[in-house]
Amino acid sequence: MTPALQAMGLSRRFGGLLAVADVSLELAVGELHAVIGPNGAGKSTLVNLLAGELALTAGRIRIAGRDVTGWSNWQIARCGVGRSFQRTNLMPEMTVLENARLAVPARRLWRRLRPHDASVAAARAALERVGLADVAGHVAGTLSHGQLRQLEIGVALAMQPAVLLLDEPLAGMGPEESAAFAGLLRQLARDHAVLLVEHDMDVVFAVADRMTVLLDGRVLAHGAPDAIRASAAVRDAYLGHGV
Amino acid sequence: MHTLFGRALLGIRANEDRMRAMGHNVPRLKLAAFTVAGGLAGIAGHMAALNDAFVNPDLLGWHRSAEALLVVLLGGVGALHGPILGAFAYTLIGEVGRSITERQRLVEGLVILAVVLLLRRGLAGLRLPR
Repeated sequence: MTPALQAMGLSRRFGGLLAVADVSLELAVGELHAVIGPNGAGKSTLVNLLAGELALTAGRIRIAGRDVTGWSNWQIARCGVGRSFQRTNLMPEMTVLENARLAVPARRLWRRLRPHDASVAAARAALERVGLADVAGHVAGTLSHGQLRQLEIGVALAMQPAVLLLDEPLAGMGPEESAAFAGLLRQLARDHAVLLVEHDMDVVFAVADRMTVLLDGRVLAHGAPDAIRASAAVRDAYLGHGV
Repeated sequence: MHTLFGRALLGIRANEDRMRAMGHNVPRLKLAAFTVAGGLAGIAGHMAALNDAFVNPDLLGWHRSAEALLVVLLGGVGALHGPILGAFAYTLIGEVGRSITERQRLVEGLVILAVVLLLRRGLAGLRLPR
């Protein structure tokens, strides 16, 4: 089966700094692929490269077998790649439902929107999945931090993507919220190809099917969570003695 | 405002980057908006030329553009009836100002200042108190 997203030899140089160096990975629907690494390892840069937000210095990207190297972010988004942002990035003065509805793919721009439009149903379904159906009518700016993080993923889901790129969805969350979020991530991975960048190691090891460890922009290790936990190189470089 | 196009423009105003990340072709949407706006301005210019039977270069001055901006500020941003209300209100203020004092611009300025400070959503926001 063709992978939902395939990255081959991705590199990105910022001046003299090689932020991402020759990183390859494959994402398949039904699988949660976690990317970990210390600060500055190139995790966010990798997500931005995959989402088309940054241009590649080298490498190729395929989505469902189609070469999309060099495409801009909105074109890649239309191919079914939804992303969430590390720092909440929404329309704060719009309602939760409107935020999600803007993300639902649509062709006919000039048709009058009705309250029971298909786009509304799709937006509601996405909100339901992230547990925000109750606050659909609220103005997004009034939500709590945790709810905004949920909406960040809800908006990505409303795009009806096959691939989800989640950049630190747990940023700023307490342990209890994180545990609830882990369940959501697992559930999303059932029918999406999920790439998760995350700092919370408990959650990462609990939900990941496969992992990539980045260090200074390079792939240090790649494999199942158990293998990563057992790897001496990873332990030395990153995990420390506590894990 | 009730088409997806209108919603998308509001979205671009709120957060252009996120609209891009959602898969919207932002440059094309902007181009469409400016094309429509330019077309309407063209119709207005056409009517002005027919009305005055000649075209005064004064119409191209920045005062005119500033007037349009003031009209929008008065009426309210982000509502279709805002600029329409604003245009009527601006003309009315001008006329009233002229009739009570010779310092018409002063009256206009004070009223607009008051609207901007007190009614953040403009006159269009008055009818929909939250």
